[in-house]
Order: sequence, then C-alpha cells, then structure tokens
Amino acid sequence: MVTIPTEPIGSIPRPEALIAAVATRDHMDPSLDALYDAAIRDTIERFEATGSPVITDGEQRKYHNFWTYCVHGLPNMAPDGFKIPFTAGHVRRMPRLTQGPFRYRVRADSYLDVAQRYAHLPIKQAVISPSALSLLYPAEAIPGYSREQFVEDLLAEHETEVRRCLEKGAHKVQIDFTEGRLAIKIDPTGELLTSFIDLNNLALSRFSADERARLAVHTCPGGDRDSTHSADVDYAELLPSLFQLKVGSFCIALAGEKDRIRILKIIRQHLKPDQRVFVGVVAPIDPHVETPEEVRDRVLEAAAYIPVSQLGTTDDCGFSPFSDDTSTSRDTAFAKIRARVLGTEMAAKVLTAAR
Amino acid sequence: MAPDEEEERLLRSVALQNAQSILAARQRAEQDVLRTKEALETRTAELAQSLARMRATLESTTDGILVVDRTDAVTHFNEQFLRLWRLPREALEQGGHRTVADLVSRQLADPAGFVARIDEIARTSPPETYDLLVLADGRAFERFSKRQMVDERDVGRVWTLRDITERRRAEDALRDETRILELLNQTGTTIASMLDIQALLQAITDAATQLSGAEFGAFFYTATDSTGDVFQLFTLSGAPREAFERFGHPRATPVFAPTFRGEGPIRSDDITLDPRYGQRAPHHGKPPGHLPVRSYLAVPVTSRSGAVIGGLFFGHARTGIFTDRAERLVVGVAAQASVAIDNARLYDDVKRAADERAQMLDTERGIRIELERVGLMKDEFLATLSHELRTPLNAVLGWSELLLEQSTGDAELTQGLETIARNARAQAQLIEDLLDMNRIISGKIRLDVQRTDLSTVIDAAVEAVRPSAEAKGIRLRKIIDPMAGPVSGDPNRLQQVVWNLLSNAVKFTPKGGKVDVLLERVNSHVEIAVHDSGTGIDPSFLPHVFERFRQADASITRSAGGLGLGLSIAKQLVELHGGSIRVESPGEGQGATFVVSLPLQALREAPSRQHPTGVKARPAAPIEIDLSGIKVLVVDDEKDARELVKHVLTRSKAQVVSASTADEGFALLQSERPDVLLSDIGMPIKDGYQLMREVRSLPESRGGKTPAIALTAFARSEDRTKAMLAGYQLHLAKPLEPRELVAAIRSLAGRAGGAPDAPH
Repeated sequence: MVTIPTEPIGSIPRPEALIAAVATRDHMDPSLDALYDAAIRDTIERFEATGSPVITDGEQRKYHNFWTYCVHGLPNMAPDGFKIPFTAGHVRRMPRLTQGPFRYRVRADSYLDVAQRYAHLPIKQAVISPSALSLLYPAEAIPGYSREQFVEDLLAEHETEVRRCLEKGAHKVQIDFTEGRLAIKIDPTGELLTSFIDLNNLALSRFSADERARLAVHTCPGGDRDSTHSADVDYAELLPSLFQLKVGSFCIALAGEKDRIRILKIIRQHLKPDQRVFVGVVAPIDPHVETPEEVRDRVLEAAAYIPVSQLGTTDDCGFSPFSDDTSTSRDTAFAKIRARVLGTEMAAKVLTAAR
Repeated sequence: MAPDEEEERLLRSVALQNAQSILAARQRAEQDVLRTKEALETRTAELAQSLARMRATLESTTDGILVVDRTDAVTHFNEQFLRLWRLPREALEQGGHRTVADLVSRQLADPAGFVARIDEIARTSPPETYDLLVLADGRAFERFSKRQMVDERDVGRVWTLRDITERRRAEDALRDETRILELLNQTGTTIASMLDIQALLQAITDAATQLSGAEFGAFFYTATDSTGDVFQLFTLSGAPREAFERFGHPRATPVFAPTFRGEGPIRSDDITLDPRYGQRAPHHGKPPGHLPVRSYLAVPVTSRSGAVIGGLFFGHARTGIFTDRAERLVVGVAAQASVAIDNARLYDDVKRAADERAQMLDTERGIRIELERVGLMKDEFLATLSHELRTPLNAVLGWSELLLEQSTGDAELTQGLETIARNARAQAQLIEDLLDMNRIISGKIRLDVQRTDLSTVIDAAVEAVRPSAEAKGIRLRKIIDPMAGPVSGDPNRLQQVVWNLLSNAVKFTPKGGKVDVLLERVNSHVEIAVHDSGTGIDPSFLPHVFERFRQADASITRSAGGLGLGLSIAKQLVELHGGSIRVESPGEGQGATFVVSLPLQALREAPSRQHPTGVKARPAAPIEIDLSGIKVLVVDDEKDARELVKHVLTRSKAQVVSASTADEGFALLQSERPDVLLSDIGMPIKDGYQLMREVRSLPESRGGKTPAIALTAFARSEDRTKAMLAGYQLHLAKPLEPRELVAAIRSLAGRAGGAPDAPH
C-alpha cells in the first residue's frame, strides 16, 4: 500500500469579524482572545473535517502576517522598512529595527498552545525564517548594536521559538522561506540567496538530526491577494541552494508553476536521499478550486519524477499569509484542502494499484 | 531616482549588508564547527586510542571476555574467549549470548546444568556471579560475570572466562606432592622408630606400594635354600599373603635375579615385553593364577656394608604405571629401609648383648649377695670363734699371770707359768691377727690417726719383744734418729707393725744373733728398718713375703709357727698409713731387713693428741691398785670367768657380788647397788646388751646410772661400739688383763662415786 503524506502550509483566511476587530486595536489586546479562540476552534474543526491528516490553526492569531508576527508592535520597530512589491501592484512594507537588542514579542509556540486545546489531529506549526527577519536590520548600522550582534540575537530567538514548538509537540515545524526566490530577484548574483541559506543553516545546525527531521522549509514566490512577489524568478536558480538546507522536508509551491515537469526534474536532480519533498498540488492564488482528480493527476505527475517514498503533497502557499487578505474565502480554502487530501489519496491508490 | 528604484536599492543594500554579516557569522560558525570538529577529532582519536587500548587490554589478558547488552546480544569479545571455547569468530558475530551458550554447552561435562545456570543468571540478573565450569575434556574454567552499569543504568553484563586447568593440575600435583611428602615423612619417622624387623619391613612395603602407585608390592628377603637360589617372601602389601603362598618361593629368574644381586632398579612399562621375561621353565613367566603384572618395578635394598638385604617389587595389571618419579621415590624408600634394617639388626645385636650382660649382672649380683652373705657368716663365725677361743684363754692367761705375780722363787714353776702365759698370749695374738686380717680384707679396720712419735712406738715394741729376744740370747738394739720427726698415724697399729717385724726377726734369728731396729728420716719420709742376722729369705720367695698365709717353709714340719698373716697385716697397715714396706735379704742365712717408710707429718697441723692409754707394755711392772670400798657386780655365765674376775678384784680389795645370768644380775644391781657393774656380753637367754638396756631404763635411785664395763670375748670394733650404744662406759676384750681391769674399775668407781683418781 502506497502512502503519500499530505499536509498544509498554514494560513486560512480569518473571519471578517476578527479582521475588523484587530484593525481597531493592538492585536494582543486580551479583549480579542474570545474572537481569536472562536476563529481558531472553527478553523480546526473545519480543517479536521477536510480529512487532512495534519492540520494547522490557520494562523488565526498571526498578526499582521507570516513574516513579521513575531516583532509586530515592538517599540524598537519602525514601520518604514523596505517594501515588497507584489505582482498585483500592491506592496507590503516591512518594519525596521531601530535599536538593539533584537527580541521576539510573540513566539509561534503560543499559537500552538491554543490550537492543541481544540485539535484532535497532529498540528503543524509554521515559523518565519531567520533569513526573512534579517532584513529588519536597516542599511545603516544601528549605533551600539552591530549587525553581527543582531544576527546572533536573531539566531538565538529563532532557535528558541522552534525548540519550544518542538518541545510542545508540534507534528512538524515549518520554516517559511518565501524570500528565496526574492533573494535571487534582489541579487541575481545569488550571493544573497547563499547568505540566506547560510543563515538558515546556521540556525538549523543548532538542532539535532532527530529534531531536524521534524523541521520543514517552505518556499514559494509569495502569495498575497492572489499574486506573487517573485514568481518571475526561475526555480532553477533557487532549488539547488534550497536543498542545501539541513532539514528533512521541503514544501515547494508547484501547482502554480507554468512548467511543473521542468521543476520536478530540477527537484529530482537535487533532492537528497534523506529528504522528502511536499509538492504543492493546489494553488491558493488560483480562484479555481481544484478537483480531487486534478490533484490526483498532479500527484501522479510528480510521482513520475520523485520517488514515492520521498514524495508528499501540500498547498502551494498559505491561503492568506497576510491577515487582512480576504481574496480567498475560508470555504474555498477548505475546499482546496479537501481536494488536496482526496486527490492525494486517489493518487496513492493509483500508485498502489500500479505496483 | 524613482521611489520604487530607491526602495529596491535600499532593499538590496540591506540584503547585501546582511549577507556580509551572515557570511561573517557563518565563518565564525564554521570556525566554531572547525574547532568543534577538531575537538571532536581529537576526542575521537582519543576515544579510538582508548578503544584500541581497551581492545589491546582485552586481548592482552589471559582471560576470555564477552560483553553483552541488556538484550543479551554480544557487543564485544576478545580472541581469548574464542580460543578458550574453540569457537570461530562467526559464532559470536551471528548470535546472542544464549546461542553461544547453547553452542559451547556441548563441551561441558554437564551441558544441561550449564545452560540452566545461564538461564538463571539471565532471569535473576544478579550483580555478580561465579561458576566453576568443568569441561568434558578435563579442562576447568572459572567463570565470572558482572552486571555492567553506566550512569546507574544496567547496560548489560561482562563475562570473564579463566582457564584454571593448569592451576588445578598444579594444585592437584601439589596436593599429590604434599601427600607423598607426608607419606615419605611418615614412612621415615615410622621406620626410623621401628626396631622390630618384621614390622619394619611391612611398613616399608606398605609405604613404597602406596608411593609407587602399584596394585601390590612385596619385599623379598634374601635367603637361600639348599639349592642356593630361592628367595623367601617376607612382607606383602596390597594383596593377601595367600595370593603368593600357593606358588611357593619365587625363583631367581632373569627378571628377579638382578635385583637380588643389587644391580639397580628395574622399571618396565610392560614386563611381558622384556626380553628377560619368561625365560625360565616351567612357567616361562607368571605361573597360572598369579596376579596379573604388566607394569613392573623392582629396587634392591642394600645395607651400608654393601650386602644386598633383599628387594622391593611392585606390580600393576595395567601398562605404563610406574613413572621415573615413582622409581626415584621407591629408591629413596629403599635407601631409608636399608638404614632402618641395619639399625634394627644392630639393635637386635645390641639387645641380645644387653640381655646377656643383664643376665651376667644378675648372676654377678646373686654371687655378690651370696658372697656378702657368706662374708657375714664368716664374720659371725670369726666373732664366735674369737669369742670361744678367747674365753678359755681368758682363764689360762689370767690365772698364769696371777700365779706368776705370786710365785715365790720356784724356778721350774715360774718357767712353767711363764711358758703357759707366753703361749696363751701367742694364741691370743694369733686370734687377733686373724681378726685384723679379716678387718683389713673387709675394709672395716679403722685407724685412730693422731700425731705419733715413732720413737715411743719403737720403744714400746722393743720392750714387748725383749723378753723373747733375751730368752734366745739375741742382742736387740735400737738406733733412733732424734730428727726423725712425728708422723700421722694410729700409734697402736704402728706399734703392732713394728712389734710384728721385731717378733718375726726374733723368731727367725738363731740364738746369739742380733736384731737392730733403726729409725731415721729419709727426705720427706721416716723409715723404720728392722735388720736381723737370721735365716734370711730365699730370693725367689721375696715377692711373696707379704702375701697372706705364705711362709717360706710351708711344710708340716716347718720350724716357725704362725699363720703367715703377720707380714701381710703389717703391709696392709703401713699402706693404710700412706706408707710402704719392703724387704731385702742377700739370701738364705744372711739375714733380712724390713723397711717401713712413712710420710712425715705436715709442718702445720692440729695439736698433738697423745694416745690416752699410751702404749701397752707387756708384761708391765706390777702396780698395786686399791679397790677397797668399791662394790663390783660381776655378771658372767662362765663360772671360770666369774671366778677369775672375782679373784682379781678381791685381791685388789674390792667387794664382789656375782651373778650367772642377766636376770640375776639385774636383780642384784637393784638390791646390792654396786659401784660398778662388770658384765659379759655373750650370755644365754638374755645377753649383756639387753641387760644394760634394762639397767639404763631404771631410775638413778635404783641403780639406773651405775657405771658399767663390758668384759667380753666379742672383741671387734663393732662389738665395742655396740656395747657403748647399749649403755656400757667401757669395753674390755677378753682375755682380760688383770691390771687393766682393776684400773678400769678404779677409774669408773672414782668417776661415779668420787673415789680417788688412779692412772688408767
């Protein structure tokens, strides 16, 4: 019997009431707890209803997005960081570190605490990569707080967050590394990407092999308001470096790619024996809800290039990495997820029958 | 610049600067990694070295080591473990400990027990175990196991296997050696202490049989019969005597004979293969029914003199039993045996000699006792003889002297009386000589040694013989050296010697001859020479002059009388004084000279003690002693004696009361209360000793302290002592000298009753 694991990336669009409430006050205001809990409980119930063997809390409390949730609202953060332009024409502006020391305000394990109260299935917890957060340090050095010191603090904070999630029983901790292709875009020489890989590996090297087996890296060209920030960068420039990361699993957006076969070939070329690749079989930015059969076919397509024993399925990206993104409804998101689950099972059956 | 471009430039700037920092961080991390790696490599190298050392240690030990984890899977083992169990490496690489145990259990003497023990240890997991494993091939292992703890966690067990086969063999050998040494020691002690040859040979045979490991052993004693070649079975060990007796005596076959010739040990792993075996008819080997013998050992037993005493023979039904060591041990026992047998034989000889000597001593002791008894009888006889001879002489001499004193000029009567008195004295002297000789021979003579002036002694002796000399017309002359000096001696005995020499000289000198006595000092001696012009002495008789009962003329018709004791007594008395006596004579008819040599008295000595009685001159000039007022009680069973004494005392005016028995005397003593009691000793019914004891038991008022004189023919010194002890004050020997008796009574009466003193 062939088994193909399948798991989500993370975010599910927030209920509108929550979005509205958070917009009016600090996202950590205790008065929001009831709304958060309701959103989380509902998300988990519906997630479990999809049949997905692994769920998330839909990142209902990640504010304001998957990238800056851990530092949002800190006093040493200025809102005038650099901007990330999306193909849809809008930009998302990052905060800027104004002084040291660099510390997280929120760690993802706190989300896990709540989710575990309602969940009956294994929970995957996503955290932001150190390389993404490294962009918080401004171009000009901060007096009295060197960039090197910042990197050390960043790595320490990241390690603490991941370790806590692991210790609290997360089925898997996923490091969001959506800036990979962005790095190529910023620095076509690849030097920036290499430094990002290095930085992340520095963080990963703090964990044991067993711990790293429970870590995954997710990469995609970004997804916000049904658009990307770096889909124009060829995967071929990213993937060879990506597979240098010292983790056991990679979640790679594939459903939205134009030439999936080419990418699968690249993956096959660089995937190491002890690594598993979860390929994206549904595309959140695509308003069309994939049918299970479509998913099945994409899985079978992937299985033609990737050993089944190293193959898994996932979503191309979170369904709303930014908390205020309502371009995709919660229903669509869960429908796509259900299609991923069913399609993956169908593919497994086909592959089993083929043996 | 457009705002978008500006943003992009800013982003790139941030990113690139971050990249540099990240690079630096990576470099630091890499350096850390490098250092960690180096440290790790160092640790790894150390660990590898440690592991290598541990492995080398494991391999260097003589113990086999097996390490298992908690699941009993083998994790480590050394080559010795494989060697001890004779296992291929694959056997341990393929299975767990239980599999290995099953595999090796086949080698154990008790496979089931071995496996059961392994299971028990696995089940109970004791901290430590110890087992002794005995293998079917005779090897022995000690097996230890210890639970292995790491950080207080049970991680498995270490099994250690030690081959103790050689140690056990050594221990067994040591035990065997100790047993043999003890046996040898015991044998040595036993046979050294045994002197009975039969028991000794049995002990030797038993010990040697045990030491050799033989089934049976025998000692054949060398003995030959009339055919000259038969050996007698003497002792046997490990088999009953009947097992050999029915075969008769073993013969001097080529196998046996060399041992009896003392040609050294014969040891054979299989005697039936020996070319000397089975050569002699009729059996050509063992007779039918003989105990089976394949292994054979024979050792000769040779005495210190080299003579072959016999042989020790050992047999065993199996081949190859007797080792070189067994042979050496038996040779050692044979050597001990030979010494012990020699000793036992020697002991037998000595014992026999001792028995003979003891028997001889017994006989000798019997003879001595008999001799003593006879001697005692002789003494008693002599005492009796003396008594009986003196008693009549007492009367003869006493009366003849009394009559002489009263003779009134009848020459013939006077001559007759003198002759009677002289002969009586001569006879008394003969008796005295006999007693003296007896005293001397029996060593009972006692000298009353004192400072003695020899000139006085010589004077007295000359005066004593003068009448005899004058009667023969012999000129008697004495020449005294005034510087001669005194000697230490008994004056009476010395006077006896001189008197004897002078008497002899007078006796052997014809009428008209001459006798000279000379006293002179010669160096540290004083010499008394008595020279006569008499018959002289034949030179051939000179060496025998001083022998008892020897006289130059021993014929019945000899001219001189006497018993031939005088010179012998003189010689004995002189020698008792530390002096010597010799005789010189130019030959018969030329006279003789006797020389007495006496040592001078030392210059510083005790004051002179003159003999209280002085020398007895005989016959002395009559001295009148008045005994008037003195009552004397005379007790004597001999009437003649009573009468003589009464006459003597009455003549001196004493009042005399007589009693013929002791009892009568005892009664008269109390009724008459005499001043002096004069009693005989030898009386019938109650003797003089008993009488005196009874008297002395009386109170003074009844005469208990009456002075008493024993007048007796028992004249020996011991008789004198006995009389004194009984209570007599004086002891006078018969025949009595009237003057002496009177003087004695006078003395005693005066002492007791305050009578006037008189000279003794």
